[in-house]
Amino acid sequence: MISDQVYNVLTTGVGHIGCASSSLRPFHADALGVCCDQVSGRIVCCLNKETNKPFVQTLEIGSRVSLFVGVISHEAYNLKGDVTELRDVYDDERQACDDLRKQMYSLYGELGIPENLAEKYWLKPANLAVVFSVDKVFVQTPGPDAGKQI
Amino acid sequence: MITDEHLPALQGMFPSWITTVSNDGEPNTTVISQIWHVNETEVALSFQFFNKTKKNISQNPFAFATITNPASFDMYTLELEYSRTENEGDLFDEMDMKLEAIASMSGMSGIFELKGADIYTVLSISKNNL
Amino acid sequence: MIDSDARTVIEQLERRNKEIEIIERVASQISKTLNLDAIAKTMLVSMEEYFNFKHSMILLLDNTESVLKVIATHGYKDEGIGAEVNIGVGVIGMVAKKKKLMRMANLGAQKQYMQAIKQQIKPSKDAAVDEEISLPGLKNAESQVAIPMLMEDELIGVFSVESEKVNIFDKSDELIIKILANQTANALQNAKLYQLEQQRLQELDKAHAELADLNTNLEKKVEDRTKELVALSEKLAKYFSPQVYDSIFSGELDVKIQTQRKPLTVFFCDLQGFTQLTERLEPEILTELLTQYLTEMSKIAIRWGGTIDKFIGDAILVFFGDPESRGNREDALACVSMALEMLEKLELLREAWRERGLARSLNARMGIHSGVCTVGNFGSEDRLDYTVIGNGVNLAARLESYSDANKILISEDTYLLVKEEIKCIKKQEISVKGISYPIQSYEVSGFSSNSSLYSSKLVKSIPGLSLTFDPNEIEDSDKAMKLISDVLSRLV
Repeated sequence: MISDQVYNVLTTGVGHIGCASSSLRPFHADALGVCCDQVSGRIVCCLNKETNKPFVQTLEIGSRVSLFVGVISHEAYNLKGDVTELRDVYDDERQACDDLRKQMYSLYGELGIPENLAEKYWLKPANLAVVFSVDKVFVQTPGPDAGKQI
Repeated sequence: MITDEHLPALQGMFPSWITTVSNDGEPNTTVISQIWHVNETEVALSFQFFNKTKKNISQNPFAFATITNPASFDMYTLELEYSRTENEGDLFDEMDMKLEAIASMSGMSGIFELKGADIYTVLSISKNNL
Repeated sequence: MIDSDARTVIEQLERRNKEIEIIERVASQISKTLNLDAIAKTMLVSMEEYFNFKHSMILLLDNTESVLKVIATHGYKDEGIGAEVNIGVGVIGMVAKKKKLMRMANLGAQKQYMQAIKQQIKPSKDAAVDEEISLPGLKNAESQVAIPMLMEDELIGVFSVESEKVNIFDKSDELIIKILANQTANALQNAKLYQLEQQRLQELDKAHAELADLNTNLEKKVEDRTKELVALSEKLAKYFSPQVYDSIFSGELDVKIQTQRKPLTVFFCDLQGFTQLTERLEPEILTELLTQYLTEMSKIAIRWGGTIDKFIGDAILVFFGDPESRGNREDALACVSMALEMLEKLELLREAWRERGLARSLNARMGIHSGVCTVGNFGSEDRLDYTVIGNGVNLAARLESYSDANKILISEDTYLLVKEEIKCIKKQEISVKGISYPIQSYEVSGFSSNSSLYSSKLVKSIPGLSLTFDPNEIEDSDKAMKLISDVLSRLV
């Protein structure tokens, strides 16, 4: 269901997840980590409630979401689906977030961005898991194929 | 609304991310290289391709964006409403120059033709840190 | 709270003042010189000294107006003077194209983004993608401020400041660079104008000198050429009858195949016994003889206004009535008078030759006919002969052959024209090929006594005394009288 290529980007990249209110107002939140079941296409997007209030307040079971995720090489994908669960973050999922955070610190470090600045994005408790089932995947890598569904 | 504090975040030093919604309620979140400062109440996006964001906006003018100050890493979220598209003028020129300068250096002159500068009204802006 | 704000404002003001001070100082330095390179270099050095802008360059718009050329740099390993940037390429090229300033903060990231896209396009063989362009400046530039230098809205060049640090230039840096760029623009423009003026003056001097030179040369050339032409035409003149030659040069006579039928009087003459002479005499002597004869005869012909058609060995063909005519009657009279004078001259020549033991007797035979003949340029396109042809010419030649020694035989047509002035004896009838009827010929005996042409010349010779008296030719009458009285005194 989800290719290795996409899986790789999901689990090592920076993600942002968006939703819409009933009055069609858009909101998004910043992911701290993404877990994925490649076979079923189930995505768990972990984020911090407090810094993503408008998104969290709008989202509900059944909401349509759009998850954008991209890596430093600009390879990126957009996954769409409907929310099936809104729950706490499991331990293994939290671990994944911690691991990702560390990776990001080292990556930012290479770019000359000090940890204290990187922390502003990454050092937050992952306390909400948004679970959704992917039904569409699009290429978002900038270039001639951008927007193509895969 | 937009003050000096926000200006460094509107220079394309760090990517921004923006969400739009189609008429049938499907959101689309994507990352763009720059949200441009126009004045105290307006920002702009460069229109080069007719992509999902552009398509959504043509159906539904509202957008939600996050910008980052590259020096402090403070993040701000903006609620936006599409106002108009400009095909000429200072802002258009500024966008065009920047795009073309980089493109031409990479031997890609003329590939990314700037079709317009999409102007949005800023409905709200707030700092997004813990 | 208030204090810290006030402090910030004061700091800003102080900085602003310092900057203005520095700008003034730099400006005064550069305005002191009109040297383009000095201005540019001074500016760039000052940029580092006062504002810590370590890497900067100045480019000027080329005459072609499509290319910028680096004229000064500071802070680069390779000076790069002369390096080119096309309008519209890169930051500097775009600034030049749009005549607006640009401030870039993260060139590295932006170029990387471009590259990522390029990777994807290249494999699909998109022809629109070119190679990377090599531009002057830092290879790893992150920040850049580029300012167009304008004079009255015309682009004269671009001022660029770079740094390897990301986002290093702020708004106030932008402003300082802008001010200094304008100062530079002014100074450069002045220097350029001055340079142009100097160049113009130099070119003007050079042009003047060349012109004077040319004039002198030209005069000399014209002079030389004219001499050549005069010499040439003098040589050519000898091959033409003077009237024909004059007519050609005056433009009256066109040098092309052109003939007319005109009433002419044609004169033929040759020397009896000349052929035997050619066998007997040395070539030099023969030439001398012939030349003398022809020269004398020519002089007479010219004096009477005849057109010397040609010499064929010792034979002479002259005609009257072309290119100029004084009327049929006058032309005929002139011809007969010429013939009579020629006979007189020939007698003198005979004497001279006899004394030298050269020729026993050289007698002339002459024939004259008046009638319509065809005259003009005959021949091919490349080789023309101005001559006369027709039955009339044949008749003149025939008459000549029938003439007695030292006599002039004329046709009836000529006789009718000249009978008032010239005494003639009727002679035989002559048939000529081409003329169906026989021609009555007359022999000229002399001028009639009531003739106005009656020659006042006297040529008499008796043993021991030869007398040639031509009052027309006496230049010094006193000398002549003295001579005669001298002779007379010796006779008595």
